[in-house]
This record gives sequence, C-alpha cells and structure tokens, in this order.
Amino acid sequence: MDSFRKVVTFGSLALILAGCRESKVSFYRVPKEQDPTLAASAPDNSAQAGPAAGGSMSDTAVPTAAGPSLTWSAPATWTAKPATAMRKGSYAVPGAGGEAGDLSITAFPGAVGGLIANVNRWRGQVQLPPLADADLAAAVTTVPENGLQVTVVDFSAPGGAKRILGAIVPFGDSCWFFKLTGSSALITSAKPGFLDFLKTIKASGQAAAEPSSAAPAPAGGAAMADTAVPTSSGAGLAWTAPSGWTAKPASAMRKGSYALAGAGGDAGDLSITAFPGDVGGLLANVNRWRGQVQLPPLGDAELAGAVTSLSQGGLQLTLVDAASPDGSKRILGAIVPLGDSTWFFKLTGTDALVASSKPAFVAFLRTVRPAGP
Amino acid sequence: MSGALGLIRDFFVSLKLTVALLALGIVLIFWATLAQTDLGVWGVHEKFFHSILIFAAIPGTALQVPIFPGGYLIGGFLLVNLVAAHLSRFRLGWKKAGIWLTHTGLILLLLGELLSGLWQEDFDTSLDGGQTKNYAESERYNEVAITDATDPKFDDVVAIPESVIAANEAVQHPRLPFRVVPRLYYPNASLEMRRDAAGAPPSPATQGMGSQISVTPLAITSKEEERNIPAASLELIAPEGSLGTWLVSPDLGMPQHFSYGGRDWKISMRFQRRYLPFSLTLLKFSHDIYPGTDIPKNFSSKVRVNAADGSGREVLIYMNNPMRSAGLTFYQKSFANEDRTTVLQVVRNPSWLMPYIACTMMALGLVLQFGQHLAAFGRRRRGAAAAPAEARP
Repeated sequence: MDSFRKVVTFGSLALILAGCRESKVSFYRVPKEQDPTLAASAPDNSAQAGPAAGGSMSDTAVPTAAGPSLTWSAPATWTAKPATAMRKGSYAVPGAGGEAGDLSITAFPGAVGGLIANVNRWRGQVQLPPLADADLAAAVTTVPENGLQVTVVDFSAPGGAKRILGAIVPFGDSCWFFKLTGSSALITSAKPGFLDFLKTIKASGQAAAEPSSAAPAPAGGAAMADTAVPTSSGAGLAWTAPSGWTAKPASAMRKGSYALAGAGGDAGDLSITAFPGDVGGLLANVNRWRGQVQLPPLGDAELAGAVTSLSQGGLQLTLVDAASPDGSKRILGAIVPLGDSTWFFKLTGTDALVASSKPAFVAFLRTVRPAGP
Repeated sequence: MSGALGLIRDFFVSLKLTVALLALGIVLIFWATLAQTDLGVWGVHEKFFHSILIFAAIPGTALQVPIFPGGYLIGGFLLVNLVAAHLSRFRLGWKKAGIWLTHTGLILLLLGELLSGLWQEDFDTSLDGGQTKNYAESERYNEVAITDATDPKFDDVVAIPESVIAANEAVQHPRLPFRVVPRLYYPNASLEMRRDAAGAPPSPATQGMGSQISVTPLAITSKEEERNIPAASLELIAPEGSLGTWLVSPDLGMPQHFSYGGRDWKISMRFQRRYLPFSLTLLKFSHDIYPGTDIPKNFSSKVRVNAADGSGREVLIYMNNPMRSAGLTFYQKSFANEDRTTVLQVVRNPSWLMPYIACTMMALGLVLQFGQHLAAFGRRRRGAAAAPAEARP
C-alpha cells in the first residue's frame, strides 16, 4: 500500500507542476551588442535614419516617397551599402581608425511634419532639447543647390559620442533626408566631403526614373529599383557580338543586352551597363556579384586571387567568374573602368550554360574597345 | 485495506477507469483536432493538452466553467491507473517480464510527454550569410529587456517576461535603479506613425519614439503563420520621481536609449531570447533542387560553432540531421531572403531520449511476451505430435 500512496502523491505532484511554467525576471551579462541599425543585415533604422519609426516597421505601413527621384554622386571613398525598402541610398563613410559613419538617404511623402519637427527629431536622437520656432533659422543653413533648397543641420550629442550631419531636401510632393551619423570626430573629418556630396544632388531625368526591373543595377539590391540610378553618359565602349547571340532591345539601364542559347534550351542573359564613378570600387562590385550567387564576400587580400585581369585595347578588364554552390546560377562578368565611369559586362545563366559560353564570352571581351568618335 | 482508502484504491486500479480514460482521450483528440481550425496548433496545445481542465464561458456571460478534463488530467489519471493496476495485480517474475517491460515503457512514454510539456522550449535563430549570433529567439514569447549599456565591452540585461507585464506587475529588480510599472498592455497591436493615423488618441508615451506612434489593439491571432506582436507602455519610476513613459513593442525593431544616474540605458520589447553557450556563424546556406525542376531536394546550413575559448568546428545541419550541442538541438527549419538567410529551430528538451527508450522497452516487452507464448505453443504442438498413435482419434 505504501507504493500505492507514492503513486498517488507523485501523480498529484505532476498534475500540480503541470499547471505552472516558470516566468520570472532574469538578469544576465552578454558581450556588447550593436543596435540593429548598425548591423549590416538589418533593415533601415528609421528612428535614426529618417522620420519613420523602427527597423521592422519598414515591413509595415510606412510609405516611402514614390514619384520623381533625386540623384547624386558619392565620393569614391564611400562604400555603397545595399539599399533597403526604406532607404533610397546607403553608404558607409570611413573615418580614422577603421570607424565608419552611416549615411542614409530616405524619402517620405509630404512635408513629414515640417522642417522644425524634422530638425527636432534629429536633435532628440542626439539628446538635445527641441528648438523653438524662433531659434530654427539660427540652427540650420539653407543653401540652394541645382534648383533645390538644401537645409543642412549639424547636431552633436553632449560629450560628442554621437553626431548627426544631415540635409533635408523638399522635392516635389515629398521630402528627402540625407543623414550622416557617427562620432563627432568622424563627422568633423567627413564634413567637407559630405558638403561636396550635397552639391551633386539633383533632380533625375525621366529616363532614369523608369529602370527595367530586369536590369542588374550595380548599386544595391532589388529595392534600388525605386531609386533613380544615374547611368553613365559620355564616352562609350563598342564591341562585336558573336552571330550566335540574339541581341535584345537595350533599355534605359542597359547599354547592350543579349540572349545566349545553351545546350538544353536554357538561355543566358548578357547585360552591358555603365555607371558613373567606380560604383563602390572593384571589391564592392565583385562582392555584389558573389552575393548574387550566394557566395560569401571576399576580403581585400583575397580579391587578387579571385579575379583575372586582362589588358585589351588600352582598357583594363577585370574578369570575375562566380558560381553558386549548387551550380544553379553562375555569373561570368567583366568590370571595365572607362574615364570617370565603370562598365559592366555580365553574363548570367546556369553553371553549364556559362561554362559552355565562356570561350565565346572571353573572345567577345577581346572585341571591346573605346567607341570611335 | 478498508473504508475510504479501499474505495480509492479500487477506483484507481479499475480497468473500467482505463477504458473510460481512453474514451475521454479519444474525444479530447477529436475535439482538439476540430478546434485547431480556430485556435491554431499552439492554442490547442495549451487549451486541450497542456491543461488540467478545459474551460468554456457560459453563453451570455463571461463566467468560465470547466466542461471537460484536459490532457494533463486524463494523462495523469491514466498514469496513476496504469501504475496502480500494475502494482496491485502483477507480481514480479520471469513469466511476466514481457508485460512488465511493455507497461514500464508505456509509463515512460506518458511521463516523457508530461516532461516535454513542462520542460521543452522552442526557439528560432535566423542567420544571414556570414552573420554570427549567440542567441535564439522564442517563436511565441516576448520580453522587455532593460539594458545597462554603459560598459563598452558588455551589456547588463534585465529581462522581464511578457507575462509579468501582462499581469500588470510592477518590477523592482536589484539591478535596476528604477521601478518598471506597466501602464498599458496589448497582447497584439499594430503600430502606425501618428502622422498617418488621423484622430488617434493621445500617446501615453512621454519619452523615446513612442510619442510619434499610435497603437491600435488587434484581436489575438492563433494562426500558425502569424504571431502576436504585443505593445506596452512602461513608466520608469526612480526614487526622485518618474523618468517618463516609454512605448515598447517588438515591432519598433530597435531599443530606445536614455540616460539615468550617469549610465546609458536601453529599453526594448523583443522576442524572448535564449543565449547560447557558444555562437554560430552561417558559412553557407544551400537550397538544392532536382536538376531541371523547382522541386527542393535538400536544404542545408553549414555553420561554424564558435566556443567561448576561441576554438570552433564546422557542422552541416540539414533536414533530419540536426546538430546537438549543450543540451540543445538545432534543426534546419526554414529559409528566407532569397536563400541568403537560414532559419534554424533550437529546441531544448532534456527528456528527448525518453520516447526512444520507452518505445525500445515496449518493443522488447512485446517480443518477449509473444515469444514466450510462441515457445509455449510450440512446446504443446511437439507434445501432441509425440503422443502415442493409439491416443489419437
């Protein structure tokens, strides 16, 4: 009977235990964590980057401005980061000692509460008290640039740990925000470059406002389709395509476009695009293509081993060949600096198709030359 | 053995009780299966199986009354019934070894389910290519994290479970120089920029980004593919007075900073975290398809497990091949972001071996039991065959 009592006791205890799940306040120490805003993979942190609320709110109901866009040219030393649903543009701005400031470019419909509200939101982010209307004029500088009214602000947190250098640009029915965040020292060193950068902001032409969705815009991911990417004008390149390739109509984004037929009926896509500047530099361009086939980014030291350089008619071609680990996608491309722009020849297809087309593609690259006058 | 105790014993050892409990179990499972349409799998778990009694409201009132035994009650009684019947009916001996093994296995199986219900914790961790994380996040639970971020090397975190906020309990933690007092709590809510929400009531938040945001309570969802996103207003009260009220919600996506007492603080509501004793780096996620089709063949994540001492090892996690480490099991669960992000399910279940042991015992017990019968049958047949011919009809 003893054992029977034990069973009943145990059973009741189990039933009582079953009713409660521990929920109590806990304390722990963890290695320093960065806020999602600084993590490369996080969506925009708009409380700092723009007028909207938090990072994950970018998935919800915050409309970003559509319609006509602004364009700009970033200095070569800035590294373009992938744009997000919230950001029209995103750059890492280098400072001394490896520190990097974050430049976000966002746009929102309407006046976003008006200038004083926008200025005070940024002040709040660096723990400064809000300004009264009467003090606003003294705290900001408004300069006309390319027909736009650019209002520049520079606020530093007490102690200098954080500083915001920003520009607010009303444009059409929306308001654009260019916001550089970093330490006070970083902003001091980056300020001349930022002010020069503001001078390059201008309204985009219609052509750039309708990018082809298939166009492989070098600067960023799919969300960049919303952004007006200036394509390069000026001196161009010429080439001779093999007769087996089918020319496709060029688009606003593409200087040239071909379909390559593979053995099993699959088709490869060759796009030829050009963009002003160095589009983030060779490493960034190579790593963007690697990212498109699910390869990890390379470091500076690994770059030389991963690409092949070709000299061709006074041009320096950098050949990149990157295949996804499962062979489903492969990019064979060439990056060609020309004057103050960069040209991209990019063949995309399955591993098998690209492998069979590689000799023809390399021969095709041999025909690439500066376009005659 | 007489009187009340005898009656109780007779009740618990009764085979009729076993049959009644099994019948109740069948009804419970059928009912829960139907209810899954409205409640979702987690809701059904909590209401029907991880409960002692199932409650329902009397129509027209808010009064909740028990209407049916829950899974823990039926399972618990079944367990007691099985053990009690066993102890009172069966005697130890070789002949009954098969039955003993089978029943012990069954008892272990019931206990294993009970312990899983009590102990099992499910978390997710999502990793982008190259990203390193040292924590996993709950699929269902949330917490308020108040972090002392003053030190440049580490964060001191006080984590308050959502249930404490939901119960409207003020928290005075020895690690916090202020009290945390919930002022408002919605178990599911949507956030909107105040400028987009004309006519929204005034915000209770006086600090942080909450004053720019309007909160609309939503009905609690129990759909499997959805998650409740709570929102709360928390007032922080220091000895010298209120520091203000903050709006927190996992939907804000980032902590809000403030300074108090010469220290830097962060406050956020986030998916409940479980920190791992190591960190994980996603080296590569692969989504293989059968050539020439879109049919998935395999999903796998190559991860590096980075130990605290700096050592590490590479592990390939793929479907049906989880990684087990430090009492946690990592399963390949999902992927996102055009195959660039992997989602691993992290399960802690100290009793995960019990069903395996139980099933092995039951299988052995049945083999033993039926083997003994077969041997006895064989012996009888041989005995009959060896009998003298004249004895046959």
